[in-house]
Amino acid sequence: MSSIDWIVLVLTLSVIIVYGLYRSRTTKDLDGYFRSNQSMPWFLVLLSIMGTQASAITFLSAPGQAYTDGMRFVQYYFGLPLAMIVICIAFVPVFKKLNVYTAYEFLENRFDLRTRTLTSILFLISRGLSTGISVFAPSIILSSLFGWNIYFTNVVMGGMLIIYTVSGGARAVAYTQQLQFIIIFIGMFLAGYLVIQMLPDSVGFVDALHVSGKLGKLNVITTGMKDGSFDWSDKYNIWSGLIGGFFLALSYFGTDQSQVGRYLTAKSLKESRVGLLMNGLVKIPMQFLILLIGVLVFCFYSFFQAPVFFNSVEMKKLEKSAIYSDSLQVLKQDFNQLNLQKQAAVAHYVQLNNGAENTSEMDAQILEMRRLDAASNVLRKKVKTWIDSPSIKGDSNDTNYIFLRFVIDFLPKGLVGLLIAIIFLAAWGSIAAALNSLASSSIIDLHKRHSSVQLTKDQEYRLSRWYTFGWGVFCIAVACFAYNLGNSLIEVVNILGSIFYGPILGIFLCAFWMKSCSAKAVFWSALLSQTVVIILFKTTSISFLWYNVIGCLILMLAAWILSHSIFKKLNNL
Amino acid sequence: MTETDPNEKAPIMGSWKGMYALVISVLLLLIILFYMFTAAFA
Repeated sequence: MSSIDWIVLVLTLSVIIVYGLYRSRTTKDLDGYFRSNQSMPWFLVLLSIMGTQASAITFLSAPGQAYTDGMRFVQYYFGLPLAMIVICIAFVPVFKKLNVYTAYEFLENRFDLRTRTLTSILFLISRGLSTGISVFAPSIILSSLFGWNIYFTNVVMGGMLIIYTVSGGARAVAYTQQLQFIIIFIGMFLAGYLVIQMLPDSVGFVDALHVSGKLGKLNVITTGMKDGSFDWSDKYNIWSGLIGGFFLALSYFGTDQSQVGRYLTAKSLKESRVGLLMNGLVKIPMQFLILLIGVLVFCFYSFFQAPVFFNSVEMKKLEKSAIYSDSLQVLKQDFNQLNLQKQAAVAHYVQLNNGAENTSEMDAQILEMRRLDAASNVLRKKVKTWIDSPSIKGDSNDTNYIFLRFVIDFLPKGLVGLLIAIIFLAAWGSIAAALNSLASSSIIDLHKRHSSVQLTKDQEYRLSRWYTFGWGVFCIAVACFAYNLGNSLIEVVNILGSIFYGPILGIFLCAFWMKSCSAKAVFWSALLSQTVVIILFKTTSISFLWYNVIGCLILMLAAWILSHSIFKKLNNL
Repeated sequence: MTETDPNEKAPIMGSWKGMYALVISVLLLLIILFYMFTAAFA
């Protein structure tokens, strides 16, 4: 990175920390620290919800996802607006009425202390580990690209935000997320604008869309049908997005304290609801635009030389390998040759598309572009197979590296620093909210509920700050440990989240809508549904989004049956 | 103390039901536009 980039990076991060500290002033009690005295307007709630959900990997991975797999990933969010409505109708009024600090307080109110404690412990374990991975994921990418020390990067990624999160709690988190989001959007907009500007003079935005579309990247809506039947292993299609995405979003926004804690800071029920509904309105267009940047980067590389694999660290391993180095040289030459042919074919297609209509020639040109693109992908796949081989044992997934590789290689000085800062800011936004929620559940659901020692308001406040600090250290430690376990953990964490979210959502839905369900029935049904989901995960290839639906529905059905059979009889004895 | 009145009026559309209908309508509109977008360029 150039010195200008370093100045921009350090300045941007410093501004956020100082701003966070400046906004830290709040009452020194649990209400001030965890709910910001319930004073937030809807737009801060909205930005806080969005900032919590969008981690660094969202901004790194989504453009890469569009580059490799097209825009169909946007369907993953189709269930979100519907979930926002259900949460506004059923969840938020109850949380606000009971004046809770955490979602799990409600479970004791409805069932018993055992259910509350179990659910909060499950949350602490899963959120603590996944936050550690949220620190590790962008750190490993940045350290690979710039040669930074991974442990140092982890400490900066997960440690600097602790300063204002410990100091200001939920209020500092919300205000910094607001500023972070503004900076993120300015940076992403500039990146998108510059990609279009860097295309050849004869190629406009619409041409870029035509090229990307013809090469299968604008597959925004897909049905998941394969050979006349529905493909249950297909990750992203309209049905898995609407149904699976609905259950996932309902579980995440309705039962995960890292999100519940954001809308509990709102100054009224109305402000909470408006924040959530606005999230339902803007989330899909926002993801669409981020994915569109990836499509534009794909189009850019249709006119310029693309690397055969975007993670240069893994490529260096292959170059040094006695087994693969010679084959790699030959493959690179073939790939470059194919790329030149593809560039010529794409340029000719654009020319035809803008000129007088000649359908047969244009069709032939489209087929030629697709043939060359498919041939390039075969070579990319071959490199990935080599990286996966026992002698290399590398990470063959370069999706997360595509966008940053483009940024470093082609964007002007200064903007590179800004985009690296954006990665930090996006990470900080979600990690800060997670630390705040981990601390709130630790002290409210466990410490205060299970300790016989009465604390003063000031002691509670100071202890909350220590819990926040402690969880911050824990997450950095997890990030440092994750370094030894490889990149695929990121995907594993997403899948694990879906395995556990279904039953947790089922517990909450039983609590809200199935008044006849007893605490015992729900507890045993939770164990049953969790077991079924794990068996499905182990023995089938069903896409992970469906686990949320299956886990939730099995729990509700089993809880109803048990409440009206075995446990009804036991209660009658 | 926070306002928790469930009958509190929605800021736009006149009622919360109207707000929910707006969110669903925008979702449907987006799906239709995305479908047209896919069909236009694929």
